[in-house]
Parts: sequence; structure tokens; C-alpha cells
Amino acid sequence: MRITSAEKQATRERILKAAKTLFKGKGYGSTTTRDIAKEVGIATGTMFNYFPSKESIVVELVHAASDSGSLQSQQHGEANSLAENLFQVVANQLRQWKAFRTYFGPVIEVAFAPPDQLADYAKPLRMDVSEQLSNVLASHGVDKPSSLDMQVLWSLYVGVLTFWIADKSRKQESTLALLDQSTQMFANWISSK
Amino acid sequence: MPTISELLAALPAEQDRPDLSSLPSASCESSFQALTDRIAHRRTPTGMFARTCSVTGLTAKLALAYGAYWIRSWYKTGDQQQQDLLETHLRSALQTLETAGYLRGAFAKLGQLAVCAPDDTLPAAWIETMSRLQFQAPPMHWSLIREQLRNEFDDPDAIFAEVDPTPIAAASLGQVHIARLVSGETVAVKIQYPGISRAIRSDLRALKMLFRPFQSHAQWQGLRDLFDELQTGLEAETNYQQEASNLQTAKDVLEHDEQIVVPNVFPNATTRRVLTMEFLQGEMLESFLTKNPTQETRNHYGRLISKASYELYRHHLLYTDSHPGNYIFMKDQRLGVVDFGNLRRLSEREWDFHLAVNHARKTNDQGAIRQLCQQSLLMSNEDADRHSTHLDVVVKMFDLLNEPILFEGEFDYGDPTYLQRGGELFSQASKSRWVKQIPANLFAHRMNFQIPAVLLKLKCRVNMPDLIRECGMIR
Repeated sequence: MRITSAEKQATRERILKAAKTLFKGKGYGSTTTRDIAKEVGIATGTMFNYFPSKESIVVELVHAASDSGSLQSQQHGEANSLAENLFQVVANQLRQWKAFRTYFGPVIEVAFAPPDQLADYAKPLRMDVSEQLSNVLASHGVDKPSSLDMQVLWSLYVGVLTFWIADKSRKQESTLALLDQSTQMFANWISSK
Repeated sequence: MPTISELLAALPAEQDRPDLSSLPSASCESSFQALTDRIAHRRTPTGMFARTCSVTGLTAKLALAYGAYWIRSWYKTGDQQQQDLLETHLRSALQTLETAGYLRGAFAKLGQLAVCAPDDTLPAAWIETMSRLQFQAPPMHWSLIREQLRNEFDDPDAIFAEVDPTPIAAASLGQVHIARLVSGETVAVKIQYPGISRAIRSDLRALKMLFRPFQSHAQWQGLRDLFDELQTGLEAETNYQQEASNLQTAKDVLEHDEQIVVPNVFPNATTRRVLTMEFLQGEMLESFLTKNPTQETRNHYGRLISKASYELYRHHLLYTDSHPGNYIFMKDQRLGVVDFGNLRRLSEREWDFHLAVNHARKTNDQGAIRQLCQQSLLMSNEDADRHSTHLDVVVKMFDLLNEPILFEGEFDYGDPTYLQRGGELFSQASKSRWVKQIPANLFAHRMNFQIPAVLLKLKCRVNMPDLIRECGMIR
């Protein structure tokens, strides 16, 4: 019996939904791929046809939660400095990814790793994030950032995400301060050249 | 405790002292601009380590700077001492300003305190730099404001129909924006810098660590009590829900007077980090004074400022936020009082002490006054004998503070010599090695100096005995 692409998509979405519920209820660390398959009602082996690992599921969840369209419209409409624009894009991402914060570590490991260590399933998320950041730079006249520029930006970006995961301050307000500080630092770096 | 020789060894050598010619002076606008630019580009550090380093560095610098002056002054002539003191003050002002810009929060608050000090208590350079800090705090950009609102309210759009992205005022812990609620009211929204409350706690922990070497000092308990009082006050100021409650308390006390306006709070639009109040239309003191108000108008507002504070005091409350930015000169000769982050309620025991002080003042019982001053300094009779010079100064300060109350007729707060005399006494008191005092004194002193400082700027005259009779005597 052939499975239609619509059925495949439906199963994929059921896996994502079940995983999200289990991660939230049991915790990411305590949830196994077997648990997810059982919740969906499929064999564990079948699930691997859809997602090669637990990490790939959480990366897909995070990617699905990213609403890049709204980011683009907002950044051009309101913010007026490079620092503020970058702040706005990353702050939006953090808000969209809030539900995954406590198990965001694996996402950083696989999606924000050096390019040569990037798994195929992580590339779409990585590309989207890179594109968002590059678009902000371009909209402020930084069309061709050097590799060092991007390295600095990327280091600050991953630093903020890592801080955010462990941020115990009320409503992660310390992350907002760090993000403000980091984006200002990067804007100063660009303008000082 | 380090010995004097260890302290001397730790002092910066003459050649290590900063070259003052390279530091911007308050009168050098372009250099000052360079300094403020440098501060504006420095952001609030969020890590405990970074903050500890900053605070430790600053405190150590200040301690060394003043320590150097103190020890060297034993060997110098009067003129040389004066010159050194001025240099020390200037360096300290600049270092404080740099760190205040960096750490915002607690130090900005202390910076504001300095602005309210009598003009001659602190040198002009300090007052000037701190005044700039008060009104030129680095702003939060609109996207950061919006994120704070989103953090605080599930759906800020359901509460605020519109928020003006341009702030109307910089507060020490945040900034104020005009907004319109969905229900239609125009409001002033005070929004706190993210993480500032945590930053203050971190700073205070760091400062507490610095005090540890003094644990064996005879006055340690007194120091710790003062520190705890300061900590409680600063922490309370970071909680805007507490301030909302203070506003309501003040409103209940002052609402019978139609000429004193405390803004209404909108509880549904208020959280620990966002305070939404009724917007009071009017002018700030500086702007009000540019219109050359008549002496009568100045006296009227001076009376209202004194009255607001006295009425609260009668209800056992110390209003310790009396600085020019917190008064709104409204139409129809009304006065708006807007900041109640630090409204200190006196305990029953503290109030009993204040009653005794008031009684001694009314009966002009000099023996009782000296005895009460001794008590307020937590001095035993033996301590009082050993530190009699300090006790004398405190008694003189007490007499000075009572002058306007005992003066039958209009007391001229516009005469700068009143506060200059206060500044001289304050300066003498600060040279004493006696630091213990009742913790509530911190706030009482703040109030007692802040209000005359505002009245001096206003250049007003107030008949205090008449005002006290009108409000009712303290019982």
C-alpha cells in the first residue's frame, strides 16, 4: 500500500505534536524516541523514516515556530538603527522560541554548530536565521560583511542564546539586557571600521 | 583591619595619580561630551563577575582617592589641603559618573541623591556632573521598551492603545513614556530597564563583600544596619507594585488638599517593572522658573511642597524622593507629586522617638535635645564623652533644621547661607570616625536636606509655624 504525501505530512505533524507534548510534560531529557512513537501509534523504526533523531524533531519544532515573514515587515517598519534592528529580530526569535527554551541546548549544538559539522536537517533553520541577520545588515548598508564581521555577529548571537537557556532572572529580563548590550557592541564594531 | 603602613603602601604613588589635565572638567563642554559619549557606548553588564569587578574597582578607587587625601592632609598646609581635596572630589565625581553610567540602577540613584545635597556640601564639579547624569541617562530604544511591555503583559495591545516611543523623562531605574489606554485615559508609563533589579542586588552583594574586612570593627553592627536600610530601600524602589501601593498611601493622606495632586494608579496596567499612572499636565521646576514666577507664586508652591512632606510626616511617613524632577507645577496653582518609590514608614518605636524629639524642640530643652541626639547616634555616655565634638556638630545640625520651624514669619529658603551652614556642618560630621546612627536617620537626613534644596532652587519663603498650625501639630 502506498502512502500518499498528504498522509506522510499528517504523520509528520502528529509526531511533532506528540513530541512537543511529551517534552513539555516529561522533559526533553526523559523523553525517548520510543515514547514519541508509542504516543503517535507507530513503530519506532517507522518514526526514523520521518526524523533521524530526537534532536531533529526539536530543530523542526523550532523552525516551524519561526515566523520570518512578520520579522521582516516589523524590522523595516519601526526600528531605525542597526543595533535596534538586530535587537528586534533576535528578541522576536526568542519570543517565538520561548516554549522550547528549557531544551534549546540541542538546537544550538546541531543548528548553530560550525558549517562543516551541520546536519542536513538543521540547514533550513540555520539558513533562515543567517538570512534574517544578513538582511538586517544589508538594510543598513552593510551589503558585504567580511567573514570576521559575521564571525563576531555569530559569536554574539550564539552567546545570547546560550545565556538565555540558563537565564534564571524573572521572565529572562537579563537576556534582554545582554541582547541590548551585544547588539550595541556589534553596531559599534561595524561603525568603527 | 589593615594597618596605616599597609594602607600607605597600597596608595597610588604620585606618578600613578591620573593626569587631571587629561580629564574633562565640568566647565569643558567638549571633553565632557567625549566622556558622556564613552559612557553612552558602554552597556550595562549583566554578569555578576563583570558587575563585581566594576563595583569593586570603583569603590577601591574612591577609597584610595579619599584615603590618600586623608593621610596626606596630616602633613600639608591648609591651601595645599584645599587644592588636594578639590582634585580628589573632581576625580571621584568623574569616576562615579563613569560607573554610574555603566551600572545605572543603584549608582544612578546615589547620583541623584548627590544632586539634592546642599550646594556647598559637595563641590560644584560633582554637582554639575551628577546633574548631567540625572537628566542624560542612556535611553532605552523603542524595541527594548516594547519587549519589556510584552514581557510584563500577555497582550499589551489589550491595555495600551498607543505608547509614544519618545520618552518624556529618564528615571534612575527606567524611563517614562506618555501613553493612551484602550479605555481612553492618557497616562504616564514608567518602564524599568530590564534586569536592573537583579543588577542592584548583585551590586549590593558585591558591596557587602567589600565591607567584610570591617567585621571586627567596633561600629560594625551600626554599619551593617545602615547598609541593610539602604538595601531595603533600593530593593523596594525596583518593585513598581510597591511604588503603586505607596502612591495610594500618599493619595489617601493628601487627597483632602485639592491643591496637591498625587496621580491615580492603573493597577491593571501595572506590574513589578511597569508603573502606569494618570498623566499630570504641567511643567518641571526648571521650565517653571524660566517664566520668572512672582515671589507670591514661588511662596505658594514652596508652601505646597513643604505641606505635602509635612502631612506625610504627620502620618509617620518619610517622603525621601523630593528632588526637582518629581514635582509638577500644574495649572490652577496645583502641585503634582509623582514619585513615591521610597516612602519610608516609621515604626512605632521610631515614631515615639520622633515625638520625644518634637517635644524637646517645642520646649527648647537643650539637655533633652543633646540626649536625644546622642541616642540617635547610638552612643553610650562613654562614647558621647569620647566623641563629644561629633555630638556637638549633630546638635548644631538639629538646631539648624529647626530654624525654619521656630522662625515666626516667612522663612527665606532662597537665602543660600542656610544650606551653606548645613553643608559646613555636614562636612564636619562626615570627617568624624563615628558612623553609627539609627537606620531611619538615613531617610530622615535625605528628606531634611532634599526639601530645603528644592525650596532654595525655587527661591521661596514659607511660614512654617503657620503651616504646622494649619495642618495640625504632631501628637
